[in-house]
Amino acid sequence: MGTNGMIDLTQDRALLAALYAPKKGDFSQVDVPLLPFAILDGAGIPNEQIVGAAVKALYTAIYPIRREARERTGKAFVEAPLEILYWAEDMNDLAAGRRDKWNWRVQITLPVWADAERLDASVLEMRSNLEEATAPRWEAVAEGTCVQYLHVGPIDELQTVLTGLYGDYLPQEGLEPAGPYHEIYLDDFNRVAPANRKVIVRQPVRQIT
Amino acid sequence: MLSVTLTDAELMLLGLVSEMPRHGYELEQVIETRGMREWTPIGFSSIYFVLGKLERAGLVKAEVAAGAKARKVFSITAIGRDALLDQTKTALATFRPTFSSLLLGMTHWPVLTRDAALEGLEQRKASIDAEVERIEVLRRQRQPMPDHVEVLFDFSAGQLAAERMWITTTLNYMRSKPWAPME
Repeated sequence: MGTNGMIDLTQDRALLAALYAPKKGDFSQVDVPLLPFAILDGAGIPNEQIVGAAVKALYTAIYPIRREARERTGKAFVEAPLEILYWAEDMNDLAAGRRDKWNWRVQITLPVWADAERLDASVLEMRSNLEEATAPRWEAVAEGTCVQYLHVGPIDELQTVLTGLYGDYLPQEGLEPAGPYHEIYLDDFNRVAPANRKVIVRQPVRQIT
Repeated sequence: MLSVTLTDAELMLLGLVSEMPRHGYELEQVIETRGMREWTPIGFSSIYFVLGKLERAGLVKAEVAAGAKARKVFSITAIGRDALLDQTKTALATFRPTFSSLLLGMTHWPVLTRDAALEGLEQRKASIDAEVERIEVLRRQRQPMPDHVEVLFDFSAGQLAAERMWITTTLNYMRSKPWAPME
């Protein structure tokens, strides 16, 4: 346990692997505990340019924390991946790909010692690099029970995965969505070819009663 | 396998093409965004020249993408990948000396007056400090970067810190050393 009763993922490698390195090619259920995040809520239609700018701002804002984490943990340092959540008031807009109706949020897990105050200090330190960009906020989030799937390949193939998830797997298991749809990007899209890109698809769920 | 020795610019472009197929202008953008000219100077026009060389050597292949903008897209070949692995290993494994202006400056130390020589080293310390600052600014601007690139900045900062320490030690020594009067 770290501060605030949150689990330190650098100390719990089994949980770290369950959350961020699932086995390829299977839906699996995982219990996602309370974790601290730096979060930037999206504004505007989530196209490559707008999301790209938010991602850059998020990474820039937390840079001093990442650097401190690297110094503190040394060889045990793990780079936290980028995560994006998508949701819509009417879930059909999400399924139909009507992006102008989507809400989105970019986030990155923080070390347990990096509290809201530390994030504010980090943002302040990076203010000149951030220019006019909005500062991320600190929030601890527990997604709870989730179904997840590791996809390796082009992003447009995710449609097939989602059809399998919402059309087959969830109904078979008696589950329904209970929170925003979530993608975790294990690779930098600027450096890894579409065919090799690893993305974890995660969906919080609950039993249908 | 035929052993090939690639120039820095060739190895850099081969590596970028190995990440994913890219066209010339895209390569220019990646080099610019990642600030790769810090380590390997390459002009915009020489990108095409180097790609042509790599293509003739069979290390990359070019395809003209269908569409309105008929641009050549370069991707790595099997031979190219072998060469990339081989040369990257060599690049990591082999120490290549770089010659600092310091070598000639110190060798010729006695031609200067004591004050001019000491002042020269003092100025070098200031220019090291400026470089440390520049690198720190760059590394903040370029976020996010992967950890294997982040440690490169550690490398540069470490080199500069070592040189700065050497200057301080040498300045102290030269200042306290008796100075032979000039003829």
